[in-house]
Amino acid sequence: MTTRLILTCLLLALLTGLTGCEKYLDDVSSKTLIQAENVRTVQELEILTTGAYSGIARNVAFSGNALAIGELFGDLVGINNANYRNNPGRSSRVYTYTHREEDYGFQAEFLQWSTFGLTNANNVLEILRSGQVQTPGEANPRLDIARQRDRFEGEARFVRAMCVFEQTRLLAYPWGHTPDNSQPGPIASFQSLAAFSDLAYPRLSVKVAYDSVLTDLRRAERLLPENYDPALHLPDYQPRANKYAALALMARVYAQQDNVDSCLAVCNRLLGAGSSYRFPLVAGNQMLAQLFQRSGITATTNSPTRDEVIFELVNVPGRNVQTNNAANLRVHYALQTPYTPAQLANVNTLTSGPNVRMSQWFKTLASFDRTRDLRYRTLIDTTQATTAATLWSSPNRLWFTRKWGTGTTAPASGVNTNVVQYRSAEFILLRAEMNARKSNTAAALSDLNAIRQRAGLPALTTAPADLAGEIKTERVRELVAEGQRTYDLKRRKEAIDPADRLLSPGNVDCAATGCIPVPWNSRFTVFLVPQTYLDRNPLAVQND
Amino acid sequence: MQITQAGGTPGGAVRINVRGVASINSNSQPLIVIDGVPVLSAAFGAGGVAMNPLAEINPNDIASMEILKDASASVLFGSRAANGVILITTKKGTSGKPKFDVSYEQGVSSATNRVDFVDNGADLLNIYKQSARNNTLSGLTPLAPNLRNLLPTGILQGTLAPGIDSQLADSTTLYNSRTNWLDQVLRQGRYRQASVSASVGGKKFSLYGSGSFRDEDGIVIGQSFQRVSGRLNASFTPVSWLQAGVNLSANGIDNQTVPLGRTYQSALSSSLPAYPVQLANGAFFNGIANGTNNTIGLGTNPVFYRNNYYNLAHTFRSTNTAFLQLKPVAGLTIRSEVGLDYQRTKNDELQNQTLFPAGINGAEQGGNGRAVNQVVTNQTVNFNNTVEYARTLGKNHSLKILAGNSTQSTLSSNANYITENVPDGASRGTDTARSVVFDRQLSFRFVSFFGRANYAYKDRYLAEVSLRTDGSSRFGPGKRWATFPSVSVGWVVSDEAFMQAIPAVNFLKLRASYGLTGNAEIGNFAWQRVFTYVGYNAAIYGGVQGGQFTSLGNQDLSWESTRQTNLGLDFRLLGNRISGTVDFYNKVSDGLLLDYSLGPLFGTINNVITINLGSVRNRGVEFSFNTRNIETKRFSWETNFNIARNENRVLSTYTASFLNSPFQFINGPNIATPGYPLGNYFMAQFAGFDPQTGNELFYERDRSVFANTGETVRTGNLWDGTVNNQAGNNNFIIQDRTPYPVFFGGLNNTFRFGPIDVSALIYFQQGNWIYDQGERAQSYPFTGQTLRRTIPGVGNVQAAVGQNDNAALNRLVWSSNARTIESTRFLHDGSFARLKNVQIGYTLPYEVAKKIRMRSLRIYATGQNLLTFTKFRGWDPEVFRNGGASDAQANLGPGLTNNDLPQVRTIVFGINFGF
Repeated sequence: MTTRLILTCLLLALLTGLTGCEKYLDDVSSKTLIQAENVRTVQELEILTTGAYSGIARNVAFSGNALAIGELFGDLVGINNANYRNNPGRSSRVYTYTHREEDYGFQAEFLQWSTFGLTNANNVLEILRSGQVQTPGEANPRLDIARQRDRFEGEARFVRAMCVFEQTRLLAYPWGHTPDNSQPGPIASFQSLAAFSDLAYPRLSVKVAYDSVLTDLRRAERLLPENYDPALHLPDYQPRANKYAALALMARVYAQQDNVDSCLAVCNRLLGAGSSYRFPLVAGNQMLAQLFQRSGITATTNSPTRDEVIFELVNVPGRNVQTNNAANLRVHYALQTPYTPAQLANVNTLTSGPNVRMSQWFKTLASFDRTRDLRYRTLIDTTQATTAATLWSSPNRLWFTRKWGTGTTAPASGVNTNVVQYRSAEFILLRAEMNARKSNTAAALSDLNAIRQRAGLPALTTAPADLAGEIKTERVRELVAEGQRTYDLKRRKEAIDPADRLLSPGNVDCAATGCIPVPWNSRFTVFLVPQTYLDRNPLAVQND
Repeated sequence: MQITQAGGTPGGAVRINVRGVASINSNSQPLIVIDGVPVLSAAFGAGGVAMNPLAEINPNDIASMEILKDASASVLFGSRAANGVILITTKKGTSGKPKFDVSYEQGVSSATNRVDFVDNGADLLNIYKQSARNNTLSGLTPLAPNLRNLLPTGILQGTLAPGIDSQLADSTTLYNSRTNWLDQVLRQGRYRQASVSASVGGKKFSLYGSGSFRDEDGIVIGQSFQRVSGRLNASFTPVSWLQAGVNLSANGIDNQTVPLGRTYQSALSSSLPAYPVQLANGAFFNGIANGTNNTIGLGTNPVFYRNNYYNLAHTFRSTNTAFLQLKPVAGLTIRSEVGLDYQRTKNDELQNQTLFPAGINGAEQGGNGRAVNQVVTNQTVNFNNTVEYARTLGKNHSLKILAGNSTQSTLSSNANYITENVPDGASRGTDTARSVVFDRQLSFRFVSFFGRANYAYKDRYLAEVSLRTDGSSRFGPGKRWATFPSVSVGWVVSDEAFMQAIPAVNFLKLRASYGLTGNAEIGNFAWQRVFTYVGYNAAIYGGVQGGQFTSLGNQDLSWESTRQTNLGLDFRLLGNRISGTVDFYNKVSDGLLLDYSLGPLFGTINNVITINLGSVRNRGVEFSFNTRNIETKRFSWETNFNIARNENRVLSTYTASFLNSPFQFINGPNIATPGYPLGNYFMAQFAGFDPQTGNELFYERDRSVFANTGETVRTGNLWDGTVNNQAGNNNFIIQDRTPYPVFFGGLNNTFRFGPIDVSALIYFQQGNWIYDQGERAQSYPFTGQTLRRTIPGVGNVQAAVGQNDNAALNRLVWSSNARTIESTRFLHDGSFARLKNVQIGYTLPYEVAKKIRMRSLRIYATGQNLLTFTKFRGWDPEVFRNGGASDAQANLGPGLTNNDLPQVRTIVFGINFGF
């Protein structure tokens, strides 16, 4: 009996001792790391959501590479700086269609940081789903999860949709490539990885990817507020997306699927019916300043008073801006230092300045009204030419877009600026295109004229014979260098002309394709999945 | 045991592998215990240089150093002893008259080797041009062979905007320069060290005190190291049943560094002999990174970098223990010990306005100078309590029982400020880029309970059983605790009656042991799924600091454990003239802790998930002999010889239903896959050059066999690596050429001629293969790349370009796609023998010393690494790969070298005297 008592006491002592030890070990905690299960407040969710935007806003993600790729595959730009060709890098391999030779290429830089935003978005969704953030009795609506929940979910779904859609456009054969769109799609995961075995999952098909993106966006449209409301939202919300950002992306998604009716419906929801647009176009002579030289949080992005910008990635000067001088966007487009006459003597051997300039092909396609069109006069720099008398159409007169900056390092020249993702002009033209295809000529003409008149051109009183063609041309003039060209050609199933690649020495810029037009669903405009990803996910397949 | 020093960095780390590497990611270094306190031995870096905890201790203070290799010896530290334990005991006061010792030594050091590079601008640029011409023949994009195409932007005059173009060099200068950048970055190192100690003791007390100073300049520009240290060991025995004592030590270290990547390694990669150090007008060439998109690479001129960069780490470390020991009744000892290890490093790193000008690319604020100021402290408290009872029963039985517990708790603080816009002379800038500050964060804790029982019969038959339970905060709930038992037996055969008939055997003991040990040397929070929202500037959006998904965490993470069987034999023969030990061991480590790299595409900042991957076995034999060959009054000769063989093999890795074969963990050109050693080479197989085009050919791997079994077999086809890098699908598990030696060992001979003694230690290893990544990079002409003079498969390229030897030069293709392929072309036999240490000393005979009132006097000269015999043509066959590299790189890439600094050759003169 005594022995047993002693043994019991000893055992009890041991157990209490061990419980104490467990507590002793539990005390260890980091002051710089937040454990997922300890996220309990609206502010912490705000931090994670900000992190999600910071990922997509990187200059190698949506503030750069994504916009550059959309043009580099296309026909509106040509090589300006010969070093870009002679020392091929990730980016120039996109232009020359040799990106499959580079394992960790220009698309991989994009994938890295967009996935980063995506993972944060997944985490926000999972934390919301777990119900671990509870704020009972919270009087301040800005900190009350019950009032904020929908908005968080909407934002996370919007960010996720944005990433998955762009990944799909980069890594997958386009919509329509197979009858059932079963071709492999994005590599994104829709759940936050939590265990080693989570690394293995198959690529979604393009069909499923588009379905998921649309599901996310439909939810986001319902959940997101119309604008920033200081009574309801913490200031962190100001530079983020509202429901119209979700609608704008949804319009692009339907367009990419060539779904005319849905695209039209969404454009109407976005712009409002008729010709007084919810996002009114800025004045033609203010386009450069008001669309492309904005910096920091601007009142018009997310307030009831709106202008043309529906959603932009916001850079606050002095706070880790993504449009610095070395940002891809500026390296590709911005003419920072004018050339000397000696350099301009031979415009094909320039070894400084931006990687690309507007192509000769663009000059022809756009066929600007050079006396009136403000897009030609204010958004394109045509001052650089071999001689003052060089004709506008000569290859010796160089065209540079001013959209992504000019000059040296002054903020007004493109450094520290915001990067517009969606502006209403794009969707007005998209609605015009869809209406034209449905033979709603009057509606199409009205939208087209809005864009023309803003640019200083006269309105067309009657629809031209080829209204659809006219809208396409207007789109080239309006959206050049904004990263949409390749996807416009793909969705319309049009081949990409080799354009100025034919002007390269020995045609080296299009040697890979044989210098013939690249079909809309060619492998030359579909990136490979980087090997580093395939090495870790044995269920993922490579594109053929 | 294999010990490798960091090549030539003062105070640099050492890698010590006790019985082979048994971990992948986790630290595979032994636990270092100083006077009973486990000390933090993780790299505590400043300026990217891993620090060595052993560098902080004054070698003259060490009384003994013991290495515990097998499980049974590790009960006191068992849970963390999987990699062995190094027990360091410092000196105690000795009874008798006070004793004083003084020592001083001074020496010089230099690199053990130099590799030859193409050493003048004209030859290098001509090789560049010839290789660019070869592009047409080889099938690559043709390229006009002019300097504009072949040099990086920001070198050649006329390529930048006029404002900064004047800082560039014209082509004449480039052709005529013959800058030897190695001469610019390497120098003769020197060091001096002085120490004094005093020791006194009596019946009731003993005291030992010491102080030392060391001053060292490394062999690379910008490196210097100073240490001042002091120690006081005291014990007090007021009554026979009570003893109390303290061991106190404090030292201060000033370590100045310039990252090797900006000095030595820059000289090996991007500093071309064609670049002048200074331009004709005295300005430093290519120094300024200008704020245009034509970024000029920083550090292309190491001299310029060193002149404008400053990094000083001041470390204060104090390791202290205090103990109280009671012996209330005979045989019973109760001991309580508390240890405090305090470490504080203040690190100021500065890039001045010249090096980091306003508007520089990469600036987080406006640039114009950048300062990183950091203060880190770690404070570890240990408690260790034991009760031991020893009793002899009758004449023959003796029994000893020990029970105890210990805890360890580490508190850390960190204050890290990064600022820009640093005024001249200031150490901190005015614009805050980012800061991380946390105070008194509990980093990790361990709790342990242990017990041990020893039994001996006639001191001839010995047995020991021990059990230990450990908990660590580094694992999640439910996975924290692990139990480590061990058992050992010994038999002193020479005490048996039947052995008396063999008088030649003076002593013979057989030993056997089996036990488990553990390893928890991973990140403190690796099991947790975590976000960070400070300190990572990149997560800012719209001016607001966001959070980043940092690590996935792994709730299933648990201890790595090692089962070790050891069979041993100790002997002394022929009147103790020959003695030695023989050991056989078999060590199987399970649940290997692995930081699995997720790569950049899974959306976390850490990019790793820590998992328990599989198991690895180390099996080997160790022989150690000590012979006293000649022993006369005037002359003696003693030989120590040891040789060991360790065989390392991965037994299993992660498997899952979706995997056709066990998971292969690949880290650069190394792989962990079952059936092969840890870090077996995994790379393309070089098949020679195409005789027509000079292109580089490689063997093709059978993809379907690989996909189904993970085995790598050849198809019989070759692929052209110059035109297209397909290495990703064509890497082979390299057979029979592993990074590990077949055997390694040392031979030490000591001779004494009266008062003069001479000793020489030769270290050797045989059969290991080295992969030289630096040589790979330096074998392909590419924009701004230095080239070795002798390139494998091509020969002396400098001679070839002088003689227009096109057969050789055709094998050099500009910007060849093969330049990034890790292949057997750069895999070399790394066997070597090295004269590690030679010492000649003179000890004043005792009688003479006494006359001049001295207890002892000795002068000596030592030479380290004086001679090396090897076929390896790279920098150094004694590869050290942990200068700031991760554990995985060090453990998995033991044979990898990439512009690592070679070991140093040192010549030292010293004097010791005591009175």
